[in-house]
Amino acid sequence: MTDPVVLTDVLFLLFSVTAIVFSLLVVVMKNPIHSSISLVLSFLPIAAIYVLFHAPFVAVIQILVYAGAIMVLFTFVIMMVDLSEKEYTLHKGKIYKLLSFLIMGGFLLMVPYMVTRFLPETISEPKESVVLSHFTSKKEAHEFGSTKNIGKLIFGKPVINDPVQANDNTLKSMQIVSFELASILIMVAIVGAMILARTRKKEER
Amino acid sequence: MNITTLNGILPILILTGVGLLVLLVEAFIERDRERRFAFILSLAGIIATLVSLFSQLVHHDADLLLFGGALIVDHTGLAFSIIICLGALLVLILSHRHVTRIHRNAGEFYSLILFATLGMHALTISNDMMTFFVSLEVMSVAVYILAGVNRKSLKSNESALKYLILGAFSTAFLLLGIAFVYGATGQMGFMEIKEALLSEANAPFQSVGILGLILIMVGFIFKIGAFPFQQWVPDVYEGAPSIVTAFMATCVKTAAFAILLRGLFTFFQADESGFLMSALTVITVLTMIFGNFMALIQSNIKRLIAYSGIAHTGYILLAILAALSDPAKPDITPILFYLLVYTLMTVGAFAVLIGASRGGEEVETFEDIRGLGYKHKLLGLFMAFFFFSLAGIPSTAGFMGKFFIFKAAISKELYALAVIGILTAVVSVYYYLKIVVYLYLKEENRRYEKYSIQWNYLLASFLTFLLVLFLGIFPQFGFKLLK
Repeated sequence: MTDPVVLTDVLFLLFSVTAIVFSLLVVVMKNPIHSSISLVLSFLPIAAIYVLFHAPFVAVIQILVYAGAIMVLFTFVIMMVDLSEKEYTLHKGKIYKLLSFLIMGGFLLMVPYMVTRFLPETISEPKESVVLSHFTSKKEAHEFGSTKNIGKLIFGKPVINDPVQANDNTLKSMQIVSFELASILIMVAIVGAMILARTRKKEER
Repeated sequence: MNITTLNGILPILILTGVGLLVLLVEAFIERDRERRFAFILSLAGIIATLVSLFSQLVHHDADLLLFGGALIVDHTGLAFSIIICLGALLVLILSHRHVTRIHRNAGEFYSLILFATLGMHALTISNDMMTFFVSLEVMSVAVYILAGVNRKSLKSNESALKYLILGAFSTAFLLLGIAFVYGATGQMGFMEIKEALLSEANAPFQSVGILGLILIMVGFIFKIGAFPFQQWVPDVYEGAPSIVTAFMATCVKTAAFAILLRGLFTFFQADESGFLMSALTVITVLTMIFGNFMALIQSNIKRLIAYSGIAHTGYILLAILAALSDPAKPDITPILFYLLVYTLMTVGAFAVLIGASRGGEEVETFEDIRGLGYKHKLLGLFMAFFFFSLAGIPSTAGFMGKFFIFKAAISKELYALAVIGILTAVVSVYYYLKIVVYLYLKEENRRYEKYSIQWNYLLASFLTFLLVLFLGIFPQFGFKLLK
């Protein structure tokens, strides 16, 4: 068995290279649908990197929300906009259909598995530690990114104890301001979407 | 949450509450009264915010750290916020009645202005990367939408899209910079980052941290519209509805300067190579030259004001350089004074431009203002005065603002920069006076029908006129307020 630290290093390199390659493909691909699928694929290694950093919750969220929901929406929008143009439609062979069913089925099976597997209460102690300077202990590094900690991050209690100010409570509830501001940001974005996307007819009434 | 904290975040609470209320007005008040109701409500909200900010500034004796250092209520932040709120107040007065011409729902427009102001205030008092970034986005997103609020106008749509795409681009730089800084220091708070960057233990990560700071600077420079990242300014200013342009040119710029200043004063000591300073010097010189010379050849008034706004950014950068050269006790009063004056002059000029627009058509070219001084004597007088002030003619506040900046630069021995500044300011007189000439240019074969303008334009331009005149003659009052 190789040294665990080296193993994580290799995995990290592998995943980051894949992420970079797929992100490049997003830009390089001519067909927008291919681009958006590359974008989905680039999210997966990033989620894997989160797992390497002992943040399984963020990883699950990454796959569920970004790869699962947002990207599908993206692809739908592109398809709706460009449906008329032949060159932008996907291949329609049987193999492709089968493949897409397999992928979708796998995804559907994976979701409940990952949710049950990574529920914060069931997380087991990590076997190895990732070398990250900000965490003083394995446990801390492990807890970073779990649901419990995201709650703490927002509503108080220091999350990351800096070695310099280990007993300093000033970090308490530091992020509540940005959390509340983010809700206003979303509010503004919704109002903006309403203003900009309202149908023309109503506008010209 | 104790009473000090509550007092510290009172402006944020007022703006949030009123912003949401104004949004709801449409649902509960019938259509014909809705506009007036929303207007009065948002006006009251902004005035309440202004009063609360003033009382905080008056009773201010020590910097107040809130929420574990996420917010810092200090003198600089409060002074910037007051300038911003003053600008927002004037923009609100201007938008009354006018607003339904560019957007069918007044409540939405007002609430976006309020939320943007909220983002700006949070930005000026933010003290860690997270709060800073989120409040910057609250401001930016609201302004992106405001730029495109007039959906019937293709130009407005185009400007909003350009602003959004370029703004997102600059945000990417900013985020990458924040990520680098966090990677190098493991800290989010501004003061903690500074300590970490200066500490010996962190030396191996020093260069990564500096790289992050440079990327963050790129984001800031985009927001203030200084030289290498200024191309969006004229396009966006031209396309957006005039009222939104006035808001962008004054409030957004002031907020961006507030955070730039906080960032520079916190971090520039960490950069031992002096790269940030020399880069900033080059940017200042090029911004002053570029802005003024490009403004010379414009035929569209809004583009002209945009380019001259770039030039004014250059002057304020010069004042920042002067303040930075004495880090022990930096004197930022010239910066604040100039921003206050610039806000007043610019909103005033836009008040006249909007007031002079007829039948939904916005004033755009020089021909549109030909003979305005005869059509409406008072309006012409105000307009001429504002452009004299922008040019920096003595007895106006614009002159005093420039005077204090150049004085600060010379006393800090930045002679070359001061000379370039003064020379470019002389160049600027040409294009500002060109507008004044057109104001009083006679048309050969047309009689001037005198026309009345609505009270809110007159009120806004009269208020700014009084303030600009007052600050031009008694600048010490402005200084005392901001010191």
